[in-house]
Amino acid sequence: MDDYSAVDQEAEIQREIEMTSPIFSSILSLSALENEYSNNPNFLRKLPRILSLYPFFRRTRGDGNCFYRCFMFSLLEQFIKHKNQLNTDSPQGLMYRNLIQKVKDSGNWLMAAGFDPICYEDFIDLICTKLETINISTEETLSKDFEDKILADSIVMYSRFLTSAFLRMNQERFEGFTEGYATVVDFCKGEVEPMDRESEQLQVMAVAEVFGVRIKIIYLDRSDSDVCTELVFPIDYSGPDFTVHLLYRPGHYDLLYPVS
Amino acid sequence: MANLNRRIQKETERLVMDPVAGISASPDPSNPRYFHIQISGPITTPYEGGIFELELYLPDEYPMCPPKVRFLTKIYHPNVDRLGRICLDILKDKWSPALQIRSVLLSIQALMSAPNPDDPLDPAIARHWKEDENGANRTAREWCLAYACN
Repeated sequence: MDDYSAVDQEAEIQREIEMTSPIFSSILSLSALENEYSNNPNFLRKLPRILSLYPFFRRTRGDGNCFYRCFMFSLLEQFIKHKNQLNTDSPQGLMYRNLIQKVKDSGNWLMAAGFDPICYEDFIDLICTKLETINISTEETLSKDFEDKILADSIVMYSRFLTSAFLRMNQERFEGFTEGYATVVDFCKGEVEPMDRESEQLQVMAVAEVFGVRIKIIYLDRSDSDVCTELVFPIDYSGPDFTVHLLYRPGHYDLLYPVS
Repeated sequence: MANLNRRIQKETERLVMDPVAGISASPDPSNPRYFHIQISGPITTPYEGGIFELELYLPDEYPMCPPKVRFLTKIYHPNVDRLGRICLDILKDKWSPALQIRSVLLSIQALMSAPNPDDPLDPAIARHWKEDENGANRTAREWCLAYACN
């Protein structure tokens, strides 16, 4: 099979994924996982503890963009939920104003990292518009936005740009952590900048640091324990009390909703 | 529905006003997503002196998906097949919206200067390159004179 047939086949698989699953589900009871893993004792034994902390979750489509997409969706969703506080010094208000400024400044920063404005300007404009119209957005409009593949992908791509810029500007820190790639820049070109490439811990850590947002990940895996591994990024977070909560099962991220 | 056409317009303007040395890219008058490309054969390669025509097309999903490019002029090269399709990673799995038409054209020009017989599209041509590079270069030169020079 030549290269182009392989590419066509992958595109076909991608189209099938798209036709059979929405980009995001509605908010679901996490107890749905009990049925899903009824044959998997090591997953099941962890569920009671997670359920007590996170009664609900939202599934996202299983493509390589799930981490970025969940992260960006959660940011916007939390701002919408607290839209009446965005001018205050509540954690959401502080985070919101920090983020808008960060996005507005990101053009210069992306250019310094070596990207061409032609390539990223449209994505910055889009994110700015989404952030500046939070006051007229709702959970419904947000979900609808993310069903528009071009829009959802553009939002993901913006986060990929920032992640890559962060890694490129901090190369010395990450040399040696880019498995399979000789340099950090090669890693970015192969694993961060192209769409659909899955995220490893390095990208998760970079997103947390570059956006200045705490990310808490519950790892649901086959390990021999009642307790899930919980990882928090960045390690030395000192920003507003604002967190994106994610569920990680090998190869896939979904959104978690903590007990409020 | 999000719209990224402003980018296509800007890229087109820049390609016309500030072209890459040795490459001309003109949008088709009846279709702004279709470009007529001409690449001058790089010097010190068998393609020197030839003008190679290519077509480049921007699918609806561009820049989320790569441009589609192929050689219209026949070229003897291990990474180009008889249909003119090009074996280049940024046209496939390494494509990113962080790249642009310009990046693609530069990469194709670089590929002409540095054929890579270890990643071939045509195994027979690749074998020729690996077993008898001088002979392969001679064939490349013959084809260039026959098809890319008028």
